[in-house]
Amino acid sequence: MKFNFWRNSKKTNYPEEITNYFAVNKPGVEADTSYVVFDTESSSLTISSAQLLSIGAVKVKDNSIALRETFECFIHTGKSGVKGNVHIHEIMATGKEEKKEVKEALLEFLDFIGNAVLVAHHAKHDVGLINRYLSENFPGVRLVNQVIDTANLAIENDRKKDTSIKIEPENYSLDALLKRYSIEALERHTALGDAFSTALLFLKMK
Amino acid sequence: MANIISSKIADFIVRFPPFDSLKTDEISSLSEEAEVLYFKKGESVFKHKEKARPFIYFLKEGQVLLRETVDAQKKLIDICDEGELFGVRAMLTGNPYVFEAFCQEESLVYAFPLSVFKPIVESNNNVSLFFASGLASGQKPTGLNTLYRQSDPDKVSDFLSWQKPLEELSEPLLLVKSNTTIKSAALEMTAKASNGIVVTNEEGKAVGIVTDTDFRAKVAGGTFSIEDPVSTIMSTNLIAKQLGLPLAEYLISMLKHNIKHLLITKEEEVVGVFSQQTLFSHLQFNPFSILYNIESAENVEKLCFHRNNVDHFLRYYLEQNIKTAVISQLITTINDALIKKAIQFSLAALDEEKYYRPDVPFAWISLGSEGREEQLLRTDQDNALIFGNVNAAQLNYTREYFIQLARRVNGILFQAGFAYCPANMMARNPDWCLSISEWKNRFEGWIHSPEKEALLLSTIFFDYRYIYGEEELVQMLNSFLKNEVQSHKIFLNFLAKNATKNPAPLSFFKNFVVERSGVHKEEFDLKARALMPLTDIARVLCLEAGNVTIKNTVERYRFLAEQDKSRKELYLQAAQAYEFLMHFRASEGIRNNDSGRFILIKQISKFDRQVLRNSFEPINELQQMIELRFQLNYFS
Repeated sequence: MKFNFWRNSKKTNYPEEITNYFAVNKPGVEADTSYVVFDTESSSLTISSAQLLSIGAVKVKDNSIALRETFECFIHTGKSGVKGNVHIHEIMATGKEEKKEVKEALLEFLDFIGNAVLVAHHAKHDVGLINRYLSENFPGVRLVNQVIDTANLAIENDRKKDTSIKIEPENYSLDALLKRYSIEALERHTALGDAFSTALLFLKMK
Repeated sequence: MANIISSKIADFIVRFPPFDSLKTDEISSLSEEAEVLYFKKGESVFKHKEKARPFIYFLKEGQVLLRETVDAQKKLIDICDEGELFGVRAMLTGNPYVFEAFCQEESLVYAFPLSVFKPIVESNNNVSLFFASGLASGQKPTGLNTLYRQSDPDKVSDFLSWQKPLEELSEPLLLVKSNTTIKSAALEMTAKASNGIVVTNEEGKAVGIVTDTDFRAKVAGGTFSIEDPVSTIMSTNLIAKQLGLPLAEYLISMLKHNIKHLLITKEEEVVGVFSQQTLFSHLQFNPFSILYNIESAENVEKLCFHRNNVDHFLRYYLEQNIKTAVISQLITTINDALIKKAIQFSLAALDEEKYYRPDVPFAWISLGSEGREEQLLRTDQDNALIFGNVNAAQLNYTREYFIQLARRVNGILFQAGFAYCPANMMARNPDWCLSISEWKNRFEGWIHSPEKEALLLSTIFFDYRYIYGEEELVQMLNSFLKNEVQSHKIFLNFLAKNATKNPAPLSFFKNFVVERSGVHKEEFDLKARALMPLTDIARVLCLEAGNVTIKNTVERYRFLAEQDKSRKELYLQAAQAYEFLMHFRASEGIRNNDSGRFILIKQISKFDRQVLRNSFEPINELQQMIELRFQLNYFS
């Protein structure tokens, strides 16, 4: 990671990844035609207190998901094992995943997404959590990408077919939708696995 | 880097060929570089004439149709199912796509970059062979399984109609009183062309039955006079069966009581006689009935008629995947019966024409595939005749007589659908109608100076098999051949060289060695490229082992497997391969109504290609073995 503080007069102290991220997201820059479908694993559903454990993302371009361009990152929480969190144990148990400091993980993520449209299931939670971590670590930085929520997309699709449909939230959970669209869930509750499943769901719905 | 997605892809693809023969690291590198593609129903993965993309495609879920556009019509070439590769041809050639890959359902496709895939194909033999065998999608789905769907179901099932009920009797009921003379009963039967007559007592009750056999055995034999009452020769062992039972029941009754005729009743009334012969004619497509009918045919027309029924059961047996050895045994038995019958008819015809029959034994032999008992489809005739030694003065007439005989036999076989041998290798040819001494001279000549022509003749004539006449003549030839070969072993080197002249079809990328020119361009010569090498190798190895009596290729390999335990596996594989190839050839032949010799590669199913290719493997190994054993590299 290079730090070129002196080059950026306006937003000093931001690492290169962030300045690049801002640069590609400036109005007028040609938009990336690809989508980044991502998922986060966290210790709770409450954005303000949840601990970010991992981020997984795949790129969808046209109808294709290239495995060369996937993003997977496990975050060092500083107190692994203490909370007895299942996910942490799982991640540790595999032993392979190298954990990263949260700052590093965030920067790599920003670098990965560029100005692509973000896609996530119940995106509010994932985007919110990333934004909270961004503002804690890099004050003033937040995600500016266009976001598509696959849960909302599913609801819209259903409403298009039947305007009077009654929306039951449980019908729009990731599990329910994967089942409905007969997508074999890769491995639920791993960020990359869910990102991939969400990507397939997105491809089928879009 | 391996991640959860790529490892799932790896887990999935490894279940399918050719990935199942890849090394773990090859699978990983493929899955890590894969792209997952999603297509909605009705979209295309690639289109006809599109530039080839640097990927090979694997169908994960859904269904992809490979289609060709011919005169603005979409023609289905292949259906690609889950777990199959497609886009292979473009991968191999780099040419634009020949087909369109159309998603019949929404489909999930893994695309593997050629930059990763091609080096694997080239370095891994199993994968190369997979593509050489054409197992990936893109060929027309035909072959054994789809072949028979078009066949007429009635015809196919008909010959197995043991359960078919006997609905009516073809012959009218003939009744005579028991005091009728044998003579008038016989006249009555002849007039009505019946072969069974029911004898009744005063009250009109059936008390016995008289058949042709009774006249022959009891009257012509002189036991009874034709003026005696018919009751003296009738069989009283009467078994009555109702009309309308399944045919099998009548046969069981006949077998159980050891009789050839049954009384058939309808509501307690005798309505007729049912003979075994008639029973078999109801089962005309059953091999045993065919055999029976051939053996009891009274003229050439009937003989040919019954022989024609063979194709019906052949088709059915092939379809049922009955072992080729069993089928060819049946066919051989039937053909042998046909030839014997043809010889008998011809001998009788010569007698009738007042030809003087020379007082010398003769033997009829079949050659080539018929000699090896490997005929399934009717092919050209290959036969010859051996007669005993006669003095010089008699030789010409003797030969002339047997040529006359052979002309008639060859003619009958021709009528029965066996074409004349284009090379005239038939007993009617004076060259192949020889005395035993002349035959020995011939064989000696071929063995001592194995020119090209001699070798060709050896491969046909050394597979001779006794059919009719004096078997001792054939045995004399056997021991002569054995001694000659053993004392002139160099002959075997020539024969071995000849057996390796058609290399086994294994070349990669060309899929099969197809014929490059002539009417059979783009076709594969199954006989020359696969069957003949196996036959030739079996022959030379058996001759080397001193066995001149086994002619059948499969039997020869079994014998060799017994002889040489160290190569048992290879020989048994060869036997199996040969059986498959025979079966395949017959199926193709029936389907295309030809000899099955030339196979249009495009029309073979993926499955058959794979099995075909597997059966080529022992050919290659055997040829290499032969080259070493007979030191063919130092031999020209």
